[in-house]
Amino acid sequence: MSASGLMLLNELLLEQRTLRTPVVEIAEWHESGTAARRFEHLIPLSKPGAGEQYAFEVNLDSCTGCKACVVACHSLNGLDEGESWRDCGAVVSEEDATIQTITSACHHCADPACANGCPVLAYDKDETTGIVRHLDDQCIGCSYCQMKCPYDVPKWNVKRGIVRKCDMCHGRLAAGEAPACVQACPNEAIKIRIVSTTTTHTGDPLVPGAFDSGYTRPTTQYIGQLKGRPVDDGQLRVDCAHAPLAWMLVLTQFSVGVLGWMALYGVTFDGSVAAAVSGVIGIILSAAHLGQPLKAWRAFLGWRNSWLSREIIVFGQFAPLLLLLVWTQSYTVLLVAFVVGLVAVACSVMVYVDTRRPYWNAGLTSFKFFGTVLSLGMAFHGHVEGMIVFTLVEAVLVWSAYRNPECAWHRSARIMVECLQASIFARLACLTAGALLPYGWVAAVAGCVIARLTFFKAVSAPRMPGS
Amino acid sequence: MTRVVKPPALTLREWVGPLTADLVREPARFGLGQVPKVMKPDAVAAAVCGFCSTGCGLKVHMRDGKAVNLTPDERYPVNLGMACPKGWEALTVLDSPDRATTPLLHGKPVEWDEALSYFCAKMKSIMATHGRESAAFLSTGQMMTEEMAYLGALAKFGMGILHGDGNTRQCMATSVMAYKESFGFDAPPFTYADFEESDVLVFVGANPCIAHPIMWQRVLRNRRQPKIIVVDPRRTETAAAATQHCAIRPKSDLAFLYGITRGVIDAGGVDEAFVRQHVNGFEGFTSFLQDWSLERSAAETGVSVEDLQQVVSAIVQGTPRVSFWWTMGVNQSHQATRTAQAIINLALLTGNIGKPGTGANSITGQCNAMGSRLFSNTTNLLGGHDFKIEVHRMKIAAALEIPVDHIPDQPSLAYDQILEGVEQGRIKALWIIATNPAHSWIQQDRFCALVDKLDLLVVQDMYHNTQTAQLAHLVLPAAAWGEKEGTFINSERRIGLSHRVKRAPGQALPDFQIFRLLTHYWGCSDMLKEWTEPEAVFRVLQRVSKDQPCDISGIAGYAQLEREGGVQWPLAQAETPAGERRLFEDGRFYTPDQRANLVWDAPQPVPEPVDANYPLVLLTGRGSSAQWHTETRTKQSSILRKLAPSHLWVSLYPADASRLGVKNGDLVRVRSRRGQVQAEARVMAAMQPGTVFLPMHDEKVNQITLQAVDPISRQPSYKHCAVVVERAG
Repeated sequence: MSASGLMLLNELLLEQRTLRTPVVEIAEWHESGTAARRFEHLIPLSKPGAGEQYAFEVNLDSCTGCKACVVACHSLNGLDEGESWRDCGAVVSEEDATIQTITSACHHCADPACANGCPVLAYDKDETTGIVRHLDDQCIGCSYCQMKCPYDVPKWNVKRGIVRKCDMCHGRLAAGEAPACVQACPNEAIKIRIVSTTTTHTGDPLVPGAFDSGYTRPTTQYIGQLKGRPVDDGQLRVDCAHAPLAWMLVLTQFSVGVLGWMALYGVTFDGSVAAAVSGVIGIILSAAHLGQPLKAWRAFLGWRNSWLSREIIVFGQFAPLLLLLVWTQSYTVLLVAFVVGLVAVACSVMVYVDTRRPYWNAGLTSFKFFGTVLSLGMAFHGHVEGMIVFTLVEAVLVWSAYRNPECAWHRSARIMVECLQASIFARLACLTAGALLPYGWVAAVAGCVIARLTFFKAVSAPRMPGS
Repeated sequence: MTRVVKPPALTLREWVGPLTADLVREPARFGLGQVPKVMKPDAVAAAVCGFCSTGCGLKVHMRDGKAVNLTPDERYPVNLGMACPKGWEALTVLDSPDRATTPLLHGKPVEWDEALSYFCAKMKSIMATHGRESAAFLSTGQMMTEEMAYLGALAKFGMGILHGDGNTRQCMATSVMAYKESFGFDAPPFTYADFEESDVLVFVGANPCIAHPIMWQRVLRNRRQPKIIVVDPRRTETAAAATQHCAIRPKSDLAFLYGITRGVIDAGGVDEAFVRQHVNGFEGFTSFLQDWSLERSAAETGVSVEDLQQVVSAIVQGTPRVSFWWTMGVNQSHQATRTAQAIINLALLTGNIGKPGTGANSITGQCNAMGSRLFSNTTNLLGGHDFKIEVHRMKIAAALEIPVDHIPDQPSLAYDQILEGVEQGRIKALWIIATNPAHSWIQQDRFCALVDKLDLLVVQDMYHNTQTAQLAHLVLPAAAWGEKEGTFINSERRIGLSHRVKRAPGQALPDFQIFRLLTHYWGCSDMLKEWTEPEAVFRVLQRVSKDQPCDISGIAGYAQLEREGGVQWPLAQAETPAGERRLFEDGRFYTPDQRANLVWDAPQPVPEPVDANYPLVLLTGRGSSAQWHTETRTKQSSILRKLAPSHLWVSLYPADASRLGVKNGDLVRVRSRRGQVQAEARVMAAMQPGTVFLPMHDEKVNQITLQAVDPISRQPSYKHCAVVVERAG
């Protein structure tokens, strides 16, 4: 091509690499109202008084489902790629033939389950505003708040190894500005209101299909009619397997089970080593799943409210006792370790029961965890009958829950039967192997790990309807 | 992903620290309030959003000369500080590994010089062998006005290509034809203030809550407690928010509108003085409507006589503040133009035009569909002129200072005719700019089969791997919105300016510059020597538009566009811009006799009625406010992906679903005579019996749609074909 063509080409490529954006005159912008003034009708003019707090108010009739609130939360708060602290669910009504969107962020609960569960006090409910803030630098990334929150509010941040969540743009509110989502709604469907903390939501769900409000007393006010069923109604969702936790639970329970057998039949070197190795590995594994393990030493801080904190404290005592047992082979040490171990397993049970998830109810979880203690303790000493009985009883329970739509954990049973058949077959295989092959306890442990993975995967975590 | 594990501070509770600092917000200038500290701007630049035709103003936050964030512009008269999810994410979609960064020849990266030389040599040789008719271009409503004018001028006047059309054929061609016949010019008469000033708003085949959320914002700002009537086979979000929803049978719009019109006439709703002075065809139309009783209309639409009567009363009582709005439900139909005109007729008969809160108003699709309609030099000669009229050709030749014999005396073939030309071997070279027909063209398999018949397929796009780019012989990497400068014309005829706020990746160049280079390499620089930068072309277009209804000769350059927050056309010399302008306030239309025309035809049967084998009607349309067309852009934003359905779903009416034994969430097959797709069933009463709905964004959906076009506008009918739904597995 001609030299002039190449010249033009080079000129344009060079121009492409330089950027001289004409910017808007600054003085002009100063004259044109501030973010504070534009939205002042959407936020309270005064601070909450005693017994009051800030709350989101969502007008379901004004919301048309454009979802600008979700994206504005992301953009105006500088969140990571794909991260937003606001979600939208959809509810369809057969009667009215309508589709309605439910936008939700943190409900800044009067009794926040996230804060109650946090082992390191990484949550702070502000005394004046009632805003539930997450202290990102305090967080150890245990993700227990995600299990505690029935609205799927705390969001796991892979890059940082912590959770992050909506803070109601507290700094904006303090400066008289509206939160990002409030600023972004074209229909002014989201507002900030002052509500009473004593009368707020104690019973009925926030909206039909949401979790029982008595648990956390969420403060968001949904106004307008919401009818129908979640758009994903009837669809089953397999949750995160939490593999390190599944292993931790099984290994520590195995350890306690072996101690239990020895408490009845006497200390053996093999038994004490097996109990110590599995118990200590289990405890280390539980630390390995943390996003910020170096901060885990603060885990005792939450002991007043948090079962996770208590579990960590008790397992913290259990591990040295196991080592002491191997060292001394003392029956007294064994008894102390066994009792501490039982308390630790009870704490484990409570960690899950305290989330109020139907499948993790007290009866079922105790049966599973203590059943594992018993059957693995027996299996290690060559008796797989316990494991067979234990598995069969569980199978009957699952089947009856599956057949009974009224059962509180019917959905979990459906997930197991309809989505996790492979796990069922794997457990049967482990059971058979445990009964027929030498070292049957290895297969029994494997079966329990599969069972524990299923415990997490089939939980059917509650969240806002249709989201 | 590498995670930084932080050592703990020596305190029991860490209230502050590096992780907390990531989220600190600080007050910023420019009326922004608090923004994330890490993205605090030191300047702001103005831009008009490059997705839909609402034309929202965006404030781009600049830091060290680079765009870091954006917020909707509260001063811009269109959106008043609001944006939909796509607008908020307009910058995000620019950063993607899918961006085209270098020309690709037969899939291999080459230098621009080689690509441009290949383009010109190949195109010239094809045209030399097979004649001027053997090359064509397919353009877009996504480029800037100056760019599409440049493309049209270069291709037709410089290269001598005869045929070119745009993807506006898929969305706005119907409105163009309807307005031209009825008003004498393609002139949407409204301004967005009309949303706020109506007492009755009638939406036909429009779902602004999802498709144009910021227009719906303007509806909600209406303080007159308006009646909102939505005519749509589905109970859409807009229908649910309306005061009355008429769920007509698919494609019975004409029967509905004729019945309503007859009802309005019978109820004495005609503005007789207006019709006498300004409208042609009243007698003929009234006698045609003799056959259109409300009872017949009710029988054909499935809407009760009472409901129809309620619409009639609302219109009669609401006059003269009744506005009519339509979008793709009307435009994408086998009798689209007459349907749009039936709406226009209603506005004309009742005198609901040229006054606040009135109008027969077509809501446009793409950000620059209006620019394409006026200045793409495809169907119309530049500036809404006519290729067939010698005076027009002379005028354009003089304005551009080019020889008049370079201007063809025939308009281009339409999109479907160009593709037919390829199918029949008459067209051998196709140049596709910023559109993705391998996904979006109706009855997709037919389009994809065409490629084998082409000697040259050039795709000019911002992404190297769109469905169409993957088929191309030559890919030219283009800069995107935000990486170039120019104007868009929105639905209310507002010309808005958008700046360059980011560098394009690699060697990607603005379409404008690609056209300049091609001009040079083709050897026609002398002809287009004035076309050096977008604003220079804007000046050319101002000259071209002089004395046309779309006269913009009075705009004092880009500076005025920026200062005023856009300017609505027309603005002739010596006129001062008003904040909001509507057309036809004096009752004079752009026809030779200055009177509007009533246009009508008897309804035609649908091209593919349902039968025993294919018993359901398939409707297609927008899936969510987070998705744009073929999703080449919106899929690049993880936050937008999160807001869109993760997989294809099909909406079904409960009774139909239970007859098929399909439950909510089941996997089903939707099959037509052309193909089949798998989708998850969404059982919802928002559908009407006998219909199913698929969102258009999934690349498989147009494998089953039927290629049928409106004979007048040649716009494809995406919203009706016969299908059967079966359980999968």
